[in-house]
Amino acid sequence: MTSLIFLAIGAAASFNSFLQFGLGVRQLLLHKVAARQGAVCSATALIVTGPLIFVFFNYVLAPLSLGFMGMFLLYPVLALSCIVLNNFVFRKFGLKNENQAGMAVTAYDGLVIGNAFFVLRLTADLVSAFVFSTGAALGTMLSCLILNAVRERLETENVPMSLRGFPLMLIATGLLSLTATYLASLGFAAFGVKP
Amino acid sequence: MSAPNKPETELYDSSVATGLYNLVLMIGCTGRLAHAVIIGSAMLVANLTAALVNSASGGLQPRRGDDFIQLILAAASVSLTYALSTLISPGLTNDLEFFYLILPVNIIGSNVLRRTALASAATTALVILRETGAVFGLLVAMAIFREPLGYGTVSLPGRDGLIILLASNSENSGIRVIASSAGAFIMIGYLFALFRKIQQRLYRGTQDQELM
Repeated sequence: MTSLIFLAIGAAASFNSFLQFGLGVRQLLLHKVAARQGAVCSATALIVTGPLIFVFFNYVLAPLSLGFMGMFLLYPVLALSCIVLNNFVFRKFGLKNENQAGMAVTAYDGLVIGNAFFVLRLTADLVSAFVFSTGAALGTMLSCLILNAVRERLETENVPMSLRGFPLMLIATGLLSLTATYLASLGFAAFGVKP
Repeated sequence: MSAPNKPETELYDSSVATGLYNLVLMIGCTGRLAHAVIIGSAMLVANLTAALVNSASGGLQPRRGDDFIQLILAAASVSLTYALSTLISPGLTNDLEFFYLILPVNIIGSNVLRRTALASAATTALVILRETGAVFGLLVAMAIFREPLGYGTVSLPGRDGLIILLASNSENSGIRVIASSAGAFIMIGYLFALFRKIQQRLYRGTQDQELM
């Protein structure tokens, strides 16, 4: 149980693809409402596709000795899953729009691919895969909320013209990434765990 | 049978969305020059392969479902590039597997397959070389700046891993944060701001000339 909790915290703070590699960074540029919708949709996609990919690779491909096709199949399977989610699930909740359709084709700008990569490398069973994906989804939503709040605040501050908008958001994302990694390492050290 | 070439303005895409897909590579692959060279080359080869196959088979593809075909094409071209790269430098390719998985997103997100679907092979190759070549140059330029500051070394890809060309004598040389992804975010943010500043200065200079 403790290991699952640490896995969730690690996923949320350190292995958050959004912060670490800039995946899904296009959501930062969207209008506030669209950005919030984007965060919810990508978080849901993370929770659903993580265990799905674990099952597909370990219980479908592996028994058929087709593991070598992993590099080829990962993106199409994830993109199709995101498109199905967008067209059949998000539409029912009024979250389907043109932005979401475009982002589903690219697996939410690679965010879902990043999560799937770490799920396949770091988890050993379906429960761990689900916990990891949920942690990553919560971490992504938290970082989206923080960065949206930063953006709203920056719109009212006296910021130099050259830094306004995207440049300052990138700098804020970098600082948030540093903070998240440091806090995660502090948390692990406090519990005597070496990640 | 070849379709008439599209006007050049429709073949190139300089939208922000296209640039954002390259941001992931700029953040993750430019910590070391060797990584930038490998991923840049892989991006070039994968884009070229996918676009040439797509333009050659344009007349054979069904009208509905071409999105799905392009998706498969992007994934297949990257898989082949990965296999080729593993033969050349297996250790480094294994380290960079994550970024190979992002390359199909780069191909689909840049919309290059759709833009060059009806173009000739020569035009397609030219478009890919110009666009991807520019990104390759940018990756290498960033890596040349980041690696010496971050690690105190300059490296190139080799068969058995990194070939360190230059290394600092002291053990603690380098500011590690610059080599990390957080440092890349901050550096790219400041580069954007600098680019905007230069654009504003140039635009103001042009305006002053028009008023005179």
